Amino acid sequence: MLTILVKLLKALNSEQSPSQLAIAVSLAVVLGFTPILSLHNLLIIFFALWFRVNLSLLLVSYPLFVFIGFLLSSIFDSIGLQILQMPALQSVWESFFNTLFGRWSNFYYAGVIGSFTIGVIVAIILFPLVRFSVLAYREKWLQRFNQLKVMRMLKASKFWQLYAES
Amino acid sequence: MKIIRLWGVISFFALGAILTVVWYLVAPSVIANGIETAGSEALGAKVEVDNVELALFPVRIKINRLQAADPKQPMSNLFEADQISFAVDSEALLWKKILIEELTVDGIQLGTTRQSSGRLKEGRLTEQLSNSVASSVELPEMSEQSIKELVDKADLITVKRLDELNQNQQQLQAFWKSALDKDEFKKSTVEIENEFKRLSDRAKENRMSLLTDRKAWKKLKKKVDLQRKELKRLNKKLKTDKKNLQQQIVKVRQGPKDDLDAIMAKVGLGNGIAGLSDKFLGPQFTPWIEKTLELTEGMAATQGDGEESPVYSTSKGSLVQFKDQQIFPDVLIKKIKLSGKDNRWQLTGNGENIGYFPWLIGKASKLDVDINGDGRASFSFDSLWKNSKDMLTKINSNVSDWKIVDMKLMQTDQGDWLIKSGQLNSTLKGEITLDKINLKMSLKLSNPNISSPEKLTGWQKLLATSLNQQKNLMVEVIATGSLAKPTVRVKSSIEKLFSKAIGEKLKQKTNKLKGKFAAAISDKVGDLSLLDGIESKMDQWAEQLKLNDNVMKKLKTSI
Repeated sequence: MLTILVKLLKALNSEQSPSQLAIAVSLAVVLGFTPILSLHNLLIIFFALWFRVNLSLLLVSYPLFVFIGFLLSSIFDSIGLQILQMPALQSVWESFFNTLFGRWSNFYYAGVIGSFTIGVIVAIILFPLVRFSVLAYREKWLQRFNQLKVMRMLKASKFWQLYAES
Repeated sequence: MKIIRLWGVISFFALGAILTVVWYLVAPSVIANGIETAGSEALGAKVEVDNVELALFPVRIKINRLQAADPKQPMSNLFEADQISFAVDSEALLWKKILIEELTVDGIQLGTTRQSSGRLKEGRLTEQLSNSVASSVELPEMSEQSIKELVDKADLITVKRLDELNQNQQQLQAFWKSALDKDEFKKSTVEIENEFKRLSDRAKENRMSLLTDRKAWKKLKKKVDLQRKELKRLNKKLKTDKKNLQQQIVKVRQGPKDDLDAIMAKVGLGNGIAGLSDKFLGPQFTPWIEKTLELTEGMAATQGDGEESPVYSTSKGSLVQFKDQQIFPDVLIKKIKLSGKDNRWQLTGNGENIGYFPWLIGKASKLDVDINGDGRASFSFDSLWKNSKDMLTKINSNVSDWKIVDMKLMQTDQGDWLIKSGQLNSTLKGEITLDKINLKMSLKLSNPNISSPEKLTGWQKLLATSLNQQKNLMVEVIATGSLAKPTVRVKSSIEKLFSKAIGEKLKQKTNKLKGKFAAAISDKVGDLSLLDGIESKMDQWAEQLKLNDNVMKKLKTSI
């Protein structure tokens, strides 16, 4: 856990693109909100591994979004049911259900499509927000952060040694 | 900076490959474990599988030696099969559907001996037939206080019906009080009489006034007619009110009995399906029956208005079922072949189109089993679902001249009761739809030779003697009603013998308990004899109407 935190701090403080960090949080939202054993999550994991998405941030934020998803599960279910029963989308869903991807997507379960839709919306909103926050942190807060008493104490600790060595 | 992370792609595929290999190696034990766990839970005794063989191309599964222990006799198997094998259609599997062209069950044996006990250590254990019968003997012990509490807490239907009756009665009283206002009627009658007197006097004085007053006479006559018409209407209304009130009174009077039945059912003395299953089939079957009923209820989808697709409740949440172009159910076994033999019999069976959801099959599901041995037994099942709300299942089973040897009838603390010999004849025929059940089973055991444990006393000794004196033991079960609320009537000579053997003691105890409940209900509801007063009040109103009408009739004749 400490190592992951170290990597996270390092990523925040490093030259790694803010987009790489932001996309990690966005992917974690979809992963966390939707049931992990879903076809789209396999694609997300593949995407995260293939492209240089920050895995440490993804791993740290994933449990948080799982917890939030658990709390919102009943809302996901009712939203999903509304989406699946929208008269205008009936023919689209029917065609999608009759494709191989559609059949394995589990999107005809109200909870899955509901959590996926909300997950994607939150991910889209979070992406610029996280990106902006990382930039702001690096530009304005990093200097002040390093001068804090707590940080100076931390720098003397074993945790900081790990950070420096990694 | 490179965008692509090569080690990421490699590790993704490597992990995928490892998981596939691990799944292939572990899957047979997972399948075997799944069958054992689900089977044991459902049966209430151990279900064991020697091993499962899995081939991938094409997907074929072989289940070797499946044993299902008898919950009543854990040292023997209820069912055993040497091999169950089937191939799963790979193309259908791609569409998440299990399509089995042919499922073969070979080497079926019944009642084989087990090497170890099939009793589940912490699972559901069988209650012997004697216990289930004895459950009617051992009525729940309830103190005066607990009976009173139960009745106090119960939402008594009688109280509700009484409230409704009181409301109705108050409304009627208010209406009839105003409609039969004596002063009002007297005023109106006096007016008519005065006018009649005035016109009569004028006519006596001068006969010509009959002509000049003709309009006044006509008006008077019309007034009397109107009064009579109103009285006629009131009379009709009174009759309807009386009829409705009488119906309500009948319901109120019936209330305590309905309440008593409901409370008795609550404490396990009613005729609910669980109670019936416990008593007549054995408690190990009750969860099965309840699950079947739940499943049937759950299968009915909630269809929205208009073009909305049906929604099903599943363990993964709500599932919206869109029109499926792969027109076959999620699980479909096109053909089933059964075979097996024992020293005394040989079994063959054929089935077709067994699947879930059954209405997606489009054809009737069928299963025919024949057993030939000392006698002959056959079972035939035919179920057709036209759609999710229209099902017709026909069942036909016959057992003729089947020799029974050393079959356990029941077990008591003193030991086993065995049917040493006898001849069984039985039929089970009927139809089941989602709305109606109509099943009839007759069972006859001829010349029963029953060996009972030694050292029996009391009613059990009496029972043993009575059983052996019978030429035929008969049981007739008739199930009617609906799947959700079936009514099962059982006529059994064994039952008669039991009740005779158990004697008056049980009868007295049951009646006493019923009496206590009835008294508690009566305390809560109050004295229903007051209901008689309501009817007499209505009779008074009817009498009043009659009197009024007579007055008007008399006046009209005079005019």
